[in-house]
Amino acid sequence: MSLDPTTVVTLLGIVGLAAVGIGGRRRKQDGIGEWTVAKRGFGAFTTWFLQAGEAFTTFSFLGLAGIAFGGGVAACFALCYLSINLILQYFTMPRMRELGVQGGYLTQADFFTDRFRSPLLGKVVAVVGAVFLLPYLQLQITGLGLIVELATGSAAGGRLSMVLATVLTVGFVLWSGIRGIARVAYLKDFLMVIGLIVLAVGVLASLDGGLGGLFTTIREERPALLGFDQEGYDTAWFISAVVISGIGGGLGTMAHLWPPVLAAGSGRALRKNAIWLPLYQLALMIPVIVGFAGVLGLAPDSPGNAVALTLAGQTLPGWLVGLVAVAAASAAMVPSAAIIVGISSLVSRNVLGVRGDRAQLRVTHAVAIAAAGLALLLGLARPDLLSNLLLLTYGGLTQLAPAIVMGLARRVRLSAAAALSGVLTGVAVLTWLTFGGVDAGTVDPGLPALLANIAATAAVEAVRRRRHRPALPPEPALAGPPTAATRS
Amino acid sequence: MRRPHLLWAVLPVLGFLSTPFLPFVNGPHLWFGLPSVLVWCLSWTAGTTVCLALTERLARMDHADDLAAPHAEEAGR
Repeated sequence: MSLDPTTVVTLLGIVGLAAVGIGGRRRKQDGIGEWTVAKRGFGAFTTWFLQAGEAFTTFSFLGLAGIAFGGGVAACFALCYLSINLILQYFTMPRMRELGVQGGYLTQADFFTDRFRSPLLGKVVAVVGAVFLLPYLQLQITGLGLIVELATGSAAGGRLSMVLATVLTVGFVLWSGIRGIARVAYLKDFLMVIGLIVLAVGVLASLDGGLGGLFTTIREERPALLGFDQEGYDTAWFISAVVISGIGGGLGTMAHLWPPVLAAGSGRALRKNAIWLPLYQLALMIPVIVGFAGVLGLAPDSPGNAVALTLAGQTLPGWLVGLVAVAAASAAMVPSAAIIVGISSLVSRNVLGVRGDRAQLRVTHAVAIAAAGLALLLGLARPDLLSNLLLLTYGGLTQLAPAIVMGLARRVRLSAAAALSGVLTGVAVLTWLTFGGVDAGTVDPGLPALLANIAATAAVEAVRRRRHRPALPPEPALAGPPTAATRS
Repeated sequence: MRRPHLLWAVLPVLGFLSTPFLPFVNGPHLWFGLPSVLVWCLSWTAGTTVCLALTERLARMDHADDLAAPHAEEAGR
């Protein structure tokens, strides 16, 4: 591995990001409450960066450009579902926070345990959440390695950066908790904006005829990329992907998104951010345009995930490629840190049921190290082992949505048994559709699974209500004095 | 409907989901030199902010009316 300017800037950038996270610690970590939700005092400014974290991930840099490269305007589905996320969050997040303050929640599973009065449901949700988030954590770590490998051209550099970034991320998460994540999120968003602008300017400057010339050529040579009449990216794919991803992110089905909501100082801060964050997401047009530029500039069989950084390597000087790589790496480190907090707090608090603030914090830290270590080892040694599980992550976690909606109501009218039946049915149908050789076309399997989930929930609840319907009182005698039975 | 201002929040969802069904959007068209689908989705993304801001404003006015109503009734008595 040679230490060229790109590699040096990238590795220094990763170390710098972790140093900023370590500096985020304000006070002694006396319990899991401070570590996970920071005394619930974050204002709109800090919450903004934590909420924005999910919109700008490695997927924004690598995946979106890749979809535009292969599927053209299909990549716009991200703009659609992220905005729908925010519309739903505008209504749900303040309520989640309110319930969190009243019930002292630190995790998503606390919500299920409390609202449905069922520790069993809380445990099942915690296990489902932790199991499905592990491949998502591995995806971030592997994505970071790929970013560095593409930027530096060195596979060894990619592996080294995976180890370095994971160790440093775990380090700043253990030391600073959610305050450290917030601090890195500020820097990450700054770097992301700079990185995207640099990428856009570099790529567009290299094109004949600029932006207008790019799309005129695309319309003449590849008109199918400008509509939804493509194999794999048709109307059914677009609608089902937008609906499932929109519901999934908007209704808090991913456990790692709960601590930032529970840490907010007010519901108004969450609503305010949901109103303005869509404007921030307009920046996602840049990777989409870069993906289109790849259609003209790269071989058709180029791997989709490599499009953005390959074009950056062709058009920018080494140190600027390093800057883009650091921005992309930060987009992996912030979600990774949030997922580590999400998995570890679920396992220690809800699965293992550790009691006592300090004991819970110690076990949470141990689980954080174990989860990150496992994801790193699998990412290095068996990167494909969890790939099947990852196929279920988004659709699988969306199966929690019906129960979450019912749990947010003023009075919970759904039983834990019905909620549990729905979740298990949804996950079972999803698994069958994904691995059972069923041809569902281009429809996201999460959508039919969600419909089965809702049907099972409704059926079990109807049966329960029928069984528990109070017996009708005996009819009073039409004539004569009341009997002893009717009197009592 | 008890809270009609919530309909403003539904508007962008309909805008996004209608994308592939509108022939003047879904096809090899360029608006301002960009793909029509991209411009449509970007417009509704910005429109989401407008609609949510409107929802928030109307909800606040609604809330203020709710608070003022009992006082008005008292004054009327």
